[in-house]
Amino acid sequence: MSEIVLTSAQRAFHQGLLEHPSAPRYNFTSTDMLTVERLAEVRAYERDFASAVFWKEGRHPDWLPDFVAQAFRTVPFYRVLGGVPKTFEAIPSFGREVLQKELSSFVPDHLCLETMTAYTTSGTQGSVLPVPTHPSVSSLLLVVTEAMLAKAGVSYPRGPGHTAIALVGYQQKTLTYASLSHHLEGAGFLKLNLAPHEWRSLEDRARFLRETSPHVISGSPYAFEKLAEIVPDLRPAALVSSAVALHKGHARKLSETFACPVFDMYGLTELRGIAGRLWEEDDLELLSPDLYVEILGDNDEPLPSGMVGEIVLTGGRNPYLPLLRYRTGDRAALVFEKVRPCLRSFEGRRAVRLEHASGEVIPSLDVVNALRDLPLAGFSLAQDKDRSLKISFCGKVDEREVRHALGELFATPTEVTAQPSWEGKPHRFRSQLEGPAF
Amino acid sequence: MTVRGPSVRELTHHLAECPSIFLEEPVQPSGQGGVYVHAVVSDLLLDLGGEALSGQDLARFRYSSREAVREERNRLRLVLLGAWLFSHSGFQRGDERERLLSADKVHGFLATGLNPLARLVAADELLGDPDRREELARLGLDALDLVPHGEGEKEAKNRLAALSSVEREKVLAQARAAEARARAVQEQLARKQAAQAAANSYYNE
Repeated sequence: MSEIVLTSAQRAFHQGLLEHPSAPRYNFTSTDMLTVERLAEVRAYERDFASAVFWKEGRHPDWLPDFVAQAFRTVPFYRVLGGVPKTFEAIPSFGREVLQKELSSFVPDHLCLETMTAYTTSGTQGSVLPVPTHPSVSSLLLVVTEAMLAKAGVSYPRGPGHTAIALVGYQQKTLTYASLSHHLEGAGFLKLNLAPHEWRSLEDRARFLRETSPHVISGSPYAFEKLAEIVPDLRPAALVSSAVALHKGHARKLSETFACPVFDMYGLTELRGIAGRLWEEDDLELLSPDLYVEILGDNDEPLPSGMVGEIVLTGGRNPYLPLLRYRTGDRAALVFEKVRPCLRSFEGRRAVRLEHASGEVIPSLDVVNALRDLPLAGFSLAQDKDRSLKISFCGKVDEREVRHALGELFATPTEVTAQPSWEGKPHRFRSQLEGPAF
Repeated sequence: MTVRGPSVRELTHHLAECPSIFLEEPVQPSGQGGVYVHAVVSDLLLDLGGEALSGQDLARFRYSSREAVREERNRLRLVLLGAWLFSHSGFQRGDERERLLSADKVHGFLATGLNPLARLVAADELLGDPDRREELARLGLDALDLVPHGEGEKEAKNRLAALSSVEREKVLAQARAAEARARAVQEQLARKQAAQAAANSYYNE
């Protein structure tokens, strides 16, 4: 593997992002982990992606038989089934609890473990589960999101001098860094936390964002709300919302404030960049022809086009986690009315309004973060109108630890119940509080 | 008294010619699949003068749940191969037929006798591997207390034990390798997480 040598212009640009007088107190150093060889692979993926076509209704993608055969040959988890079934639909589906339990048996035998990295996130659907992944996967995601952005005529700028992407959050704790994307020829990638404690002065946030002028800003609806308060005069080419549901009223306001298209993207920790839409649209268009999406009923029966069931995934861009019929826990119908198949009547990533005793909003991401270090298989948190909390959880944890973690975050009375087992989504939130939900 | 069944060679040849219906996918809770294993077994037992499957016996020959398909599929596929094995004409020698093939013993063998083999070898591999075909043929004969034609009782027992132990050694070695690999995966994930955590306490993204 050969390291990519930065040009002097790239180095100077990166240094400028790091040493900008209004820059945040970055707490991490990151690179996109591409080498010369991996960059060539990303370029090849981009070329193939441009010419790839989606499967037609009632058909499978052309790549599917080879993908299935390879998975049965190399992945211990699938080998247990005892040979490839004659029909794809006879491969049993599995969900997140199985993935969590048998994680190491999903990594193919032939892949070098030295190259493997771990990806974890605090998305509302994520958990402490580290996903084995390949260093190039993040760059491949840029290819996928750029195809989505193209719908609004937006593409990432290339080369030093441009900040291609800012990933913004408004959280108690999150990574912050400035890096360059080799795939985008040295354009900048910022990971920022808009929460005041991450900055030297409050004014620095707007100043830094205006001066680095990120082309595309990605974040949660809550982070965008804060962004609109902090720097409403920013003019990015597009906003990309993810992690939780984006409500249309909120999206319209964001679109008007920032005078740009607003995208709503659906993905999972295990597999990012599944589908996306412009906020005005109802259906989520599938983004990747290399990801086969089915809608299944409770007994694994494939549901016909237009019927709502569970979204089930096969394929993906992560060689360390080949998925064959992975149940997402999210629901939608699949329709074939456009060039790309679409998810209709999507139900997932439900946003909720959670409040501190003082009435201040607490994003659900912060709850996931607050409980992250406890070994929980799952939890379900409900907040009442009087802001009191009820949490039921599964895991070998003392109830007092759970109560303490939530008490620090919410400062409200909390009723804690332990559950012997856990199925389905690892994190569930409910709230009786009214107001914008995040 | 020693009761003789068909020769092992005849049976392995018979297995190699297994028709596609016995290789179909056992019907899953989703409705996917082409053959109801319990129906095949019931037909066989009725044909042998036994009773059709019912209740708990029937449940043993179909998937217990959607989640169980992964674990139970290979066993059910081997049951189909077992049912095909006993359809060999050598088991059905006129008046002797009842004596050679006891419905109870066939039922017992198909219900539980194949479980150890199902953990060792995939149904598809079994048909393609002469040693595994021989193992299935000998297991079937042994379950019915039959000695293969042309062999002595002791010789038949020894040959079956040898076949099983060779395969078991191979599978144990594979299992050890798989465990080592799984440990290596876990260690590498933990190392990567620890390295990120060392670089920053907010390492989760």
